[in-house]
Amino acid sequence: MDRLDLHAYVDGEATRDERRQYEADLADDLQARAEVANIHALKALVARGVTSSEEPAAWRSCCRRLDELDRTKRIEGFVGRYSWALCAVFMFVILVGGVIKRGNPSVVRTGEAAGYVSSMVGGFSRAPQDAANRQAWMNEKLGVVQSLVQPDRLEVLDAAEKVDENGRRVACFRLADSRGLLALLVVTNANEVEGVRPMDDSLCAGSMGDANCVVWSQSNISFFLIGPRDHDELARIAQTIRKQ
Amino acid sequence: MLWGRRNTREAFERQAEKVFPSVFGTALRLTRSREEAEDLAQEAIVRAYEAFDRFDGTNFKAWILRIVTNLYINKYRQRQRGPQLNSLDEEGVVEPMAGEDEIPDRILFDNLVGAEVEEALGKVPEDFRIAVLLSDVEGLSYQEIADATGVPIGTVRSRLARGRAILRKHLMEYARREGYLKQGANE
Repeated sequence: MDRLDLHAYVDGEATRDERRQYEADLADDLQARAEVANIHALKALVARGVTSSEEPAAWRSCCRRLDELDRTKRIEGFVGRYSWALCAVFMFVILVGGVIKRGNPSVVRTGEAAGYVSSMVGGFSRAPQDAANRQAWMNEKLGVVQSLVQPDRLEVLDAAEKVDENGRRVACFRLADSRGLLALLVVTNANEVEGVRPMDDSLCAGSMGDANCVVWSQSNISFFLIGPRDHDELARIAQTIRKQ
Repeated sequence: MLWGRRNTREAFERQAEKVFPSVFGTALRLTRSREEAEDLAQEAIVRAYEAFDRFDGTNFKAWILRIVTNLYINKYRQRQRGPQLNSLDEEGVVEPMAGEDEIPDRILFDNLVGAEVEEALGKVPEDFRIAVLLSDVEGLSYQEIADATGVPIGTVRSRLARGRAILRKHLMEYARREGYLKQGANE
């Protein structure tokens, strides 16, 4: 008898016809019968001798992994189902935040400030040379702001002023020191400037076109000191003209 | 949908916990390392859970042991440290059948215990050992073993016969060493 057939016979893998044939062959083959008995004995030994592996700790560890998998799938499911809604909510929050900020009349952006300066180009009036008229002229230009700043610590060349479409009063002074020209822009009804980064507790740094600027706000008025200098130098000059 | 997932989890856990001793035991006998067996068993359980919706509902144990075996063959076999017991030539010499006047194995095997069997199994080359484990330890059919190992049924039959013959040879050597069998008695 074929050896593999003996194994198939013992393992119950033979068809009914094959079993009948094998049993007929085994009846006449003592050696094959002995081999069948040995295969049975070996199978029984392996089944008996190989111990069952009860591993409660390993099973608990598997359950924890399945818990993590379930948790991940729940989150993925939630995000997947509501991702469009979540995106819409985030977009709405960003838009509303932007509108609120843009609509806030007391915020002035550096781009806006640059617009004020360029719009006043043709409207500058020269500062009077004599001291008495000069002081009156300065008081008129500064108005209430004169308690906060004294641009005449430097040489004041000329100044311009305007009222924008929102009723905000703006004045611009062109100044000079030993190193060159500067500009001081005064914007009323503005207690916050956008587009600048903090330098210290009171001053912020930004840029306007090719020039740097240092910005500070006080009593709902924002001041921009503008010039082709680095921020530290502008900050030092700002401290000289500020009335703290 | 949450309730559906919970039901799936419960159904899976009920079946998996019942067969986990077989899963872990097979993993242990394949990897011969407790640490790797834990990793292999855990990964097999996770893979089975992820594929549970594709289970056809027939033999859960055979299905999950197929996952264990495939994982072992594809991943863990490459990482095994130490000398690999490579499978011998599939068509190698087949040991002769027992003689009709030899001492039956069942009498010799009465003296053997689990540790000796496990040790002898460990010496059987891997492909043959997998066939013996899945058939004689886990009770899988030839077709189920063929599906689990990705080989034809004919190969399963010859690996099983070879594996058992080699296992028997190692057990006989042990029996001889321990004096259960006189030298030359079964040759």
